[in-house]
Amino acid sequence: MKREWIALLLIAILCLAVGLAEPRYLQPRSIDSILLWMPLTVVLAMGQHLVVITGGIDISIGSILAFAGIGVGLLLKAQPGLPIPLAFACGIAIGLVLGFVNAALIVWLRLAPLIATIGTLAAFRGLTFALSKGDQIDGSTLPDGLTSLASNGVSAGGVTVSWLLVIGLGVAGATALFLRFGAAGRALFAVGSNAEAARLRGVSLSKATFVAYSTCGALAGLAGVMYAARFGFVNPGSAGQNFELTVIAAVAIGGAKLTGGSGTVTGTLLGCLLLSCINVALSTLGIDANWQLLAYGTVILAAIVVDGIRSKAEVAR
Amino acid sequence: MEVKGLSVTFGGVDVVSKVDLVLEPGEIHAVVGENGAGKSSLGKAIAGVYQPSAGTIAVGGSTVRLRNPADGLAHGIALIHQEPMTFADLSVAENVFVGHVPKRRGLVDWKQLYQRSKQLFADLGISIDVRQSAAHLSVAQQQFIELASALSHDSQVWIFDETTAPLTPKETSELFSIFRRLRDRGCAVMFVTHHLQEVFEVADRITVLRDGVKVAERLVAETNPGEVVQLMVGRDLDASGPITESANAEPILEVNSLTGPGFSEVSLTVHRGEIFGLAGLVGSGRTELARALAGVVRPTSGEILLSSTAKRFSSVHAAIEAGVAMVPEDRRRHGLFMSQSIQFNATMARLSELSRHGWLDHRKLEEVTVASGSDLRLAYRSTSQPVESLSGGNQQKVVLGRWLMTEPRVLILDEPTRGVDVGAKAEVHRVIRQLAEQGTAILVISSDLPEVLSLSTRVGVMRQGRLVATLDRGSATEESIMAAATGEGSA
Amino acid sequence: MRVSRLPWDLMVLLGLLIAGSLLASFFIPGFLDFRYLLDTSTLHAEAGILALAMTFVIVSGHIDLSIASNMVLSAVFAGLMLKSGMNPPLVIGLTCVASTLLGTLNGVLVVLFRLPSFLVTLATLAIYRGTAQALLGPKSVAIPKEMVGLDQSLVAGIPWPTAIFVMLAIVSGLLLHRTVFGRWTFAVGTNEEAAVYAGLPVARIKIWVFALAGLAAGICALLIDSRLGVARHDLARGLELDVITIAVVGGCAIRGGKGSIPGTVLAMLLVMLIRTAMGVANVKAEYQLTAIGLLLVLAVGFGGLRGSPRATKVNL
Repeated sequence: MKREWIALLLIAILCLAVGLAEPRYLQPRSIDSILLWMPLTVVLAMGQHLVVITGGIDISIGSILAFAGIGVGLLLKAQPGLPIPLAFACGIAIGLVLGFVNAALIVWLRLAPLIATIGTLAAFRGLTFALSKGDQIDGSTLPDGLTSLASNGVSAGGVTVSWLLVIGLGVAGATALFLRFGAAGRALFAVGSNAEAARLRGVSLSKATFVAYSTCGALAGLAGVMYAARFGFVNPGSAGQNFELTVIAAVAIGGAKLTGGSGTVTGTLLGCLLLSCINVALSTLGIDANWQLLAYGTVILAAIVVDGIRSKAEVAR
Repeated sequence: MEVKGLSVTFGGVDVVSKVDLVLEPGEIHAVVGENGAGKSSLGKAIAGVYQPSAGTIAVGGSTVRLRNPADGLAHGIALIHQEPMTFADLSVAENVFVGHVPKRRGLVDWKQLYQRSKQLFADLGISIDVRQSAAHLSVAQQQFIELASALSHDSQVWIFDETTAPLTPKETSELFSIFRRLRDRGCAVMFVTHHLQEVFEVADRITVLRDGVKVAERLVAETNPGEVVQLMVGRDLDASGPITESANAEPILEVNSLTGPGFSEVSLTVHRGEIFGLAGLVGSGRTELARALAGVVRPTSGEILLSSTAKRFSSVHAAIEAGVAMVPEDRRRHGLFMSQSIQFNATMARLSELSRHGWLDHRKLEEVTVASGSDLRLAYRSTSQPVESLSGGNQQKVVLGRWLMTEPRVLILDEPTRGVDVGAKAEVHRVIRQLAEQGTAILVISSDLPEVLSLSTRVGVMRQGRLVATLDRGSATEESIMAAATGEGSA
Repeated sequence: MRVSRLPWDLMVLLGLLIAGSLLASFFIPGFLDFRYLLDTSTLHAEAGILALAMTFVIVSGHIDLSIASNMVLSAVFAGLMLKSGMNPPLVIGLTCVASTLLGTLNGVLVVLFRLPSFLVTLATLAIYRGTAQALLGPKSVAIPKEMVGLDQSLVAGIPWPTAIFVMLAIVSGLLLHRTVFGRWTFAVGTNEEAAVYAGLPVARIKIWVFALAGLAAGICALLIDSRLGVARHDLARGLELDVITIAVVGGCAIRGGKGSIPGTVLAMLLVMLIRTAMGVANVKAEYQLTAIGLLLVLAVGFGGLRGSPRATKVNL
């Protein structure tokens, strides 16, 4: 059975079960919270998706998010009249630079992606503190035009698809198109599937690495601005903390092979949706947020164990 | 396409030395030689995989410098590997076009991708579903992908590196018809092999390499297999035979209708002091059989007897305990801990026995390593030297030494002299014969037929997982072995 | 075990350490006060002990990202048991058993499903800390008085945590460099397939190595409980970074097969020196984070450059 169907089935079962136990779960308000929870994860997951396809991993996205969020927040503080699209562009640019640093460490210093991004996870977080001098960006500095992106959107039948989610879905669509029709996108699959063979065929491993990690960084930067819009503040310490786990969980559930070479955007999207449903289900059922981390960890473990069993069966064939 | 004075150097040793070669369009040019003669390295240097240390490569009259295989492709030179490089996660069509996907307005044009790859396979006379995933293709099908890929680059020079070794006879003849098709299109085909039968079947011209040097070039029509063999070997084939005759010796290893992954219903007996050669094509199940005998994988049915006692090995360790040792085929992958010291490598299989209650006894480890080194005439500076700094032949001696330390009753050697220089090869042969004299039962797997013939008391031949023939010294010849291995009548 | 190359790596570390100390004492008068350094060392004993175990894991070709989470869960577990009035020696025993089991679980998952260890332990990193969080929520458990303050008491003039670190360093050094198990660990990390062909019990070795990491986490759980006097779910956040940094700076190659306990010990001193100097110089904890991150990246980076130039593999 295809991974997308499994994810969809799990979502359906979850919704049904939780809906039976607590009918409020299937009402517009709770669907609204599910939809509001998604955009950040989707944007971050698309970046991680690219990296995972090359066979790498980026642990530092939460710190990049925080850095970009603080950076743009400070910019808005200094230039209150800054147009919103420009604020987004700045966030993306900041993320792009940090993602490029990750790629440079991996390509030029030949670090294992895990080690490089564990290092930058710490380094970028520290720089975020340096940038903000420890202060958080408050709602007062954020223009209404930005924060309203989370509250306003396209409404239908009592359910609102926020502008943030529209952005998220737009990013997902663009990622899907890039992976399907971009020559550089196809190169990511080739590199992740068989790096040595790709090299022999003249596909540049370095280029693929730069593309994947820089894009991942840029999307994390975008997510930083979206974070400010969604929550109305950015704290240099807590913004994006542990997000890497959520996002890797989403990608893993979506069926992307964490050793590289395969994965679909639809799968990853459904992974985000499933996590979102779990998250809202926890709060609807009155289980407090303290269970969240455990839930993510379990979901990641389940996803990789299923993959492990699968590839073992594959080898046995 | 013309090569002048080409040399390839590894670790200070010329594996290819000042070779001149002309590949004419519309000609199939076979490059033959024994294992280690440098024929594969020559092909790889021409395709840009290896950088030549001297000499020039000219395509269409102008000298080119190939920094990598992609450069080679750009100049119309394609290399088809023995073990093809496939992208298991991608479709067959995309595999063909990795690195140069067809595009329209900057976007990947999937329609054209499928159409063109379908056309390429049709040109090659191959039927295959181009949309299927490449994950479960046979080796031959994977080679066809590389062929189609080379064809898509409109390559003019095609180098086939021992491509027939993993193929069945039927697949081989399919491949040869592709050779001819390419020749008729005006391409230059270079075919690296050591199967003379194949050379005389398909090639127009032969170049013979020995120890990295070109020793002769002949038109196929003007020579015969006997002459080529002599040129390849450079000496008479009749080397010193084994001393011990096996007829009355007691059986040490008995295998009865053993079946497992990659082999089935194999029965054979190796006696005390006997050297049993196991020949067959690559992929015929020889290595798989050896792995089962040494406890690496478990057979599914059948039995293994050691000195008439049935044994079932749950692990390699159990096999070692019972007195079975195997020197694996792929030294770098399965044999050695490359970055570690000679002592580390040599003593690894006997570490528990060479220590006291789990504590290493460095003096003892040192002693046995030095003793083993001098037994095998190992050339080294110090036992703490990492094995990656040794030559191939000396590395093989370290692995051999490790297994001799287990004092095996049955020693299995899988391609013991692959990639080993002539001197070390003779040394390894000497050790094998000496062990047999001391009463060890020895099973030698080798694709090097002269080696099999000169070492073995008896030769078993495997084909498609089965032991199809057992020849004694009198009846074993290169021809009879190849006939059994390919399942075709003697050429 | 590259005995021949070890001294060179160690000498570089030693040189850095001496140069660093001199520099620090030049800028910060009285920095090299022995008493003061000993007192500070108790703050770093946990990271050091975990790094000793991490050395085994990395030498075997793996990584344990969950080691700090395991410590936190075990610390909470121990705190809850103490609070319920169980007698301390029993708690100490049970905590170590529990943490060892958690470590073993990592190993079993890696071996059983042939999964990359960084994925498995990334998941258990979340699970272990998540369990601690689910158990306690935002509350903290107070540790009974008689168990608090081990770091204030001395043995032979040395604070207990530091003494324990030194003892464990000696034990691990012997285990890694002087026993069959240690050599097997190097063998598995250098070339796992060759280890299988050489008849080594590869699966068992890997599980043992992860169990060892678990045991270290248990010991550190007790130390941190005693040092802080409370157990919470958000203790030692990001400690795995320090631990991996120490191991890698100490010469562990992330691809396995290389590393040494003396190297790890020197690296632990170096990281302690940097952290302490920055602390004295009033550098905020967050900037220290940046410095440690940079140290990690630079150490692997230059190690990587010196190493095989043909290592093009991106995967861990």
